[in-house]
Amino acid sequence: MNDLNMNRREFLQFSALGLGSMTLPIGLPAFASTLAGAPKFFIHVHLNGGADQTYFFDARPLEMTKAGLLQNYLGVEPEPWSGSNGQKTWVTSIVAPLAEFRNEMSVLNGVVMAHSFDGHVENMKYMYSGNPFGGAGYLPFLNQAASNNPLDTVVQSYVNPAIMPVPSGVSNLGATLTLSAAGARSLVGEIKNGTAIDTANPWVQYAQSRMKALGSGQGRFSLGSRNMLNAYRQAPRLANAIQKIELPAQTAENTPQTDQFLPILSEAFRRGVAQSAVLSYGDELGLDVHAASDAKLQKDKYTKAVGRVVKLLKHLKATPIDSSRSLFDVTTVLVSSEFSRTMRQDSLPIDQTGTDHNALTNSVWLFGYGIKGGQIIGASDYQSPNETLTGAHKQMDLKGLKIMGRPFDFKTMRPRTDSPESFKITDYLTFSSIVNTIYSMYGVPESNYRTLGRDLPVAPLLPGLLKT
Amino acid sequence: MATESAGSQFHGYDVINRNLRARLFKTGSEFSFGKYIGSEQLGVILGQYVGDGNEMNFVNGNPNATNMALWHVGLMALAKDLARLCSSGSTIQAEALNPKFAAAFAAVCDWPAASARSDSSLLAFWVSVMSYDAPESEYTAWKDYFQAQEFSNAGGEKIIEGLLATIFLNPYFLLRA
Repeated sequence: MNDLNMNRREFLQFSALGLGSMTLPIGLPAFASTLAGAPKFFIHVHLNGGADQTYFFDARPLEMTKAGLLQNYLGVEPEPWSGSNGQKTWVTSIVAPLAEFRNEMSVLNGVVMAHSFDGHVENMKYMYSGNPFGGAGYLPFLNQAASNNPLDTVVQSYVNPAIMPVPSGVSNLGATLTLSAAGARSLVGEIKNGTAIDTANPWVQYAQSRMKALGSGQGRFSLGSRNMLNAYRQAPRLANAIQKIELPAQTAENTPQTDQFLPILSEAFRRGVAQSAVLSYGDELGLDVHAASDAKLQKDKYTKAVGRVVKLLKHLKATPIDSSRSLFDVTTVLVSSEFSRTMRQDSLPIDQTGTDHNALTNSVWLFGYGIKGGQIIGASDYQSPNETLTGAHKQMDLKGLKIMGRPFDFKTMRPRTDSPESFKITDYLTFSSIVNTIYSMYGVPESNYRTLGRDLPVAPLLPGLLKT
Repeated sequence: MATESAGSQFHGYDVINRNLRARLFKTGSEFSFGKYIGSEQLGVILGQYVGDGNEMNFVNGNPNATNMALWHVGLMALAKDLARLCSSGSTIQAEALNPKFAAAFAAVCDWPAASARSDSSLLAFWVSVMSYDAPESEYTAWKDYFQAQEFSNAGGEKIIEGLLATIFLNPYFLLRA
């Protein structure tokens, strides 16, 4: 724990010098002050492929299926789930294992993603960067506000390196590492056993002097040389941190990648290697169920997905960060897919249909550090076969195949009851509002906050989502 | 901690592995730089194209602490292993070397003999490893550094380790132009 204590001291010094003078979002100074000095970590669990939220915390009664509107291969009526904020939703039995965390988690339903795009990549880019065409990802900003770790983010890749959970259009990932569990294990072993980075070594000194000399210009190559030098100078700190990582015993070959990665990830957090992570929990499960044969397997797929989230949360709870706290106490966990799915496919029988992409709604689950638990925030429409859809819905969903987020009142943190005739993104809860709220928790400067689009305002914060 | 992403990226594992094999070893050699970083699977950390067939992306190409640490570990280990050919204990067979590199290498093994420290020996060594990827000024700086008094009594094995390590870790060797 010595290295962690040192990091905390360093962090306290950093806080005293920097965070105290940062501009804090209006309405949140008390929260920010209570967090000062605490190490905090962030994990984004990405259910990549597009997970149907009606199988989780935004379920629909079977009458929707009987009316031929919504495929439901569970065939069981959902259960009501009440939030501590008075909001209600319907849930399936698949999320039952998460009930033990209900006071430590909040669920946001009806979250609109990249509403003009149906593609995975565009919606992933939107999720990570706020722009379907790509841009700066949100995770490095969390680290820049409060970290001196050599890496920003560790991205767990399902197969090394066949599938990238974070698309290439996300631009600020210079200090982000993508690797599989096996790759992470090899890397730790190699750096532990390899030649130490001795800055007194004349060959290292000469190499760094050339990087410095070549990095003195203005061009692309010079910038690359400067980046090389900076990275080389940071490398001993990383190597020292990695030296302290205690690798768990090798697990059986058929152990899911996600499970193999957990102990390595928690060690990376505890030893000061990285402060945030993206865990890819969708690839192994095949959540992109366009084919009916795949859609019929959703119960199994989603049960496994929830099981992995539960395993992550339990692992964080079981991992001490100091004498009184677990890693869960200092880690915020966000679970989301890049979008939800359509209710069915056009013109197919309701018991023989797959589903397509739906960026008009999504659900986000938030756990742990800084999150005011127990809440259900936001809602989506098409709750019953007879519901009168808004003009905005009809505008965005010509064939009536999609569930859509309801208009949202950011002051009361409740769904609105009015029926907009035309679509305006400012009426809806978006993923960007969630990111901006997390930014506010981490003290990220407001200049980095996401907007709702070109020439549109900053996505409103959700202060009620956070502990005060 | 994020590096500026507009700068040149690493060539990546596959290009460097190919360059090392072509420049240092005979055609058809089974040399793999993966041996020096523990596993070829770690090549992705040094920059590599990945994808699912629809879209290929070059990942981990921007210098960061992790890939620099791994480049250091691997390239230093390769430099040491090659340098041991001056004496014994190398895992590399001398017969496997590219004849052009082998000749340049053998000449410098005699360090600190004047012939080994000569401009012609160092130029042959530089070109056999760096090829023509760097400007002459970079060669001159490197040559001047090793011809300095500081290394006038060093042994061949130690010097070859340094000659190789400093070329391998040069931005002109590792970065895209």
